[in-house]
Amino acid sequence: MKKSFFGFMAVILTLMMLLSLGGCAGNDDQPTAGSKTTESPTKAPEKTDDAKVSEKVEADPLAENRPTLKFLVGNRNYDPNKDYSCIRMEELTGYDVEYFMLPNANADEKLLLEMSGGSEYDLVELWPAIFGKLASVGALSSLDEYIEKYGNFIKAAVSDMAWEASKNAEGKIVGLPRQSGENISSPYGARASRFLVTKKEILEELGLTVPTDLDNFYEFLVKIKEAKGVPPLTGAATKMDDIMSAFGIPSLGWIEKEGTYTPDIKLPEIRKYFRFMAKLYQEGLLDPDLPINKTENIDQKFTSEGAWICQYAFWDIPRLIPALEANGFSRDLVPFEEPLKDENGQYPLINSFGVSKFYGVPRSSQHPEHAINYMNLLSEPETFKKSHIGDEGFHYEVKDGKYYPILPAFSDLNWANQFCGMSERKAEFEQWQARARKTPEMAVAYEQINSKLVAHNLIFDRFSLTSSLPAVQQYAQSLNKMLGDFYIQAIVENKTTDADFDEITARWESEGGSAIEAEVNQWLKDHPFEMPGK
Amino acid sequence: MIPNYLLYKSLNLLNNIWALIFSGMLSVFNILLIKTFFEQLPESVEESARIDGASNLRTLFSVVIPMSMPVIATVSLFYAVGYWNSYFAGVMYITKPSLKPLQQYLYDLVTASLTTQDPVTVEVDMDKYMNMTPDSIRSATIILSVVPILLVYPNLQKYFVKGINIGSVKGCGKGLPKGWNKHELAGNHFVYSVCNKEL
Repeated sequence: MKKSFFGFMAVILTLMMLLSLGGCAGNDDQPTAGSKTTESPTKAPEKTDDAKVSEKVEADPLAENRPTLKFLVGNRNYDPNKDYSCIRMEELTGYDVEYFMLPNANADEKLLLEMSGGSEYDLVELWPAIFGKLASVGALSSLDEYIEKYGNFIKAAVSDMAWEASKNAEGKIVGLPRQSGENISSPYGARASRFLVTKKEILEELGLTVPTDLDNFYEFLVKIKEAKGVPPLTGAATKMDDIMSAFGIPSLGWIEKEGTYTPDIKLPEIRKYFRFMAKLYQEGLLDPDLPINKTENIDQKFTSEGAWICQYAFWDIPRLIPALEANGFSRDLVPFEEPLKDENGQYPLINSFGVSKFYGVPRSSQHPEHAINYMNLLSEPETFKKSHIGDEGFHYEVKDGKYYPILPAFSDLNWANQFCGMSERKAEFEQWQARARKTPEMAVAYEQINSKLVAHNLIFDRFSLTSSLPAVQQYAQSLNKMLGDFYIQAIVENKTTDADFDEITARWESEGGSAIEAEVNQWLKDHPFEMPGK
Repeated sequence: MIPNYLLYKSLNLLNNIWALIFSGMLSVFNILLIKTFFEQLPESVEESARIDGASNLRTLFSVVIPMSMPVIATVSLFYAVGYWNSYFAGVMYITKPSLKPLQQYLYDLVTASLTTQDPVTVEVDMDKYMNMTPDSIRSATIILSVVPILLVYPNLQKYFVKGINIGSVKGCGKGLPKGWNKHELAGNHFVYSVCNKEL
């Protein structure tokens, strides 16, 4: 009896010990500042500007007693705590930052739960829709005072338009905007994703040249179809920017005309475009699988003899090359160097300016002043450049005023622009191009599609600044879905009569479209266009 | 769901590996399964242990549990598979990337290529596309994540059958006096019980 009792106690005690050991092991998983330094890659360059950085840190009024900042970010498929560029940002600013991550599914709900549960994050990465929601319920701290006190570099980098988009209903700044877009005064870079590309072999075999306007594009398709017997043009999207340009519109979306933003569905040009696409579809010149195509099918068709023209983004090109070569094609693809021209020999291009995301400081943060100070240190132009593309001569080089990566060192900075500070837009866009040139194939493609562009009609788009407005949040998603479905029907079922378009326009207006149109135009009127030097 | 979240928060279990363990620990189904199995054990085995002077605890640990290994193996397998497949607890209670459970990691890996953003109003994050994990690596990760369970499952599968079918008293033991049955326990101990069934 006694023996059995001791046996039982021994089992219980062992279990308890195991449990507590497990608990300790669990805690050991948490990265500490110490472990971070050991983890940092050995490839880290010598800090040539050590003195400069420490000077900055000393000049910083909050240099003493710095807390570890807790930063809640959206989903990534890597761990920022172990990412080279994030560790580098900590070295550059002298702050320890611990990153927390939202799940990929139901990120909105999880974020609201975290915020309403009063979790002690110091910084939160917010995409525009959720930013509007949190700003309207007062979950974010007002930052005016901190920016005034600690945010000199942030203030210098952010343009007034972006600040306007960062305010809540009371006019208080509740988020730090990360500005996005191209260099709006130059057409270079206006074409990044979505350009048409064809294969060298077909041009040589049939003695064709790359089409430049709608008529010779149509003939081009017909000739390939006659020779090869397959629909020559494939793709997964109803919007093909390079074809749309021949109708005078740069892309789908909202277009500003004479100071008013108009949705694509209301533009007469869009009807012509879809009639043309429907015609291609009916005549078997456009892939009949268009509505169900996925990246894999398109790649398969384009890298074999299944299709000859396709719409791609420049970062897709490296992926295609092994398959092309395996099927006996040349690795040198032929992209359309310019979008198709309209009857006047012109094409529109779109350059955008917007806010891709905000950094907010939750009300429950214990260290709002440090959060702003950290972002401010990151926004100092030299520090920004270092955190964004690394050190000159080690990570990147500048040739003819253009940034080129030095590989393999630059690959450590693959994710470097994910949690950067604020930056002047033009400078950042130029630095960013080092990324676009990350593989030789990508560099060539980027150059081919951008270097010959002419600014006939450079449209400046700042629609995305309005994405946190209430009506946009409420209706935009369902309306875009509705239009997306309609555009597929328009091509596949040839629903392109004026009556079809009038019907869908009326539906669009009644289901919230008019509200968006009014609100957006009012907002843009209240915040007039300012050519952002920033 | 939300009360649970608040409970875990007030217990300081958020972003803690124990949040993943506690949240799936209590399963009424498993309790019922084990209870039913215990009840099916022949009473005569417990009686004989008592006659030999065993206390309740001794009976539990020396007789009942060794005889219940099939059901314990079955339930262990349920838990192992349950925790291996657990996804929701990670979504609810974990924001620390290093504690992300396997299934959530896989989900993120697979869906990273599908953009949930609306490309008309929201700008596409080009860097995400440029740094996308290649398909081959994604597929390999998924296959690798299946392997451990694939190895464990067939080996434990036999207990599933036993766990459901086995009873202690099937008939009388061979080589024993008529009406007696012999039960092997851990550590070369035996329990003899009276057999009720005809041979």
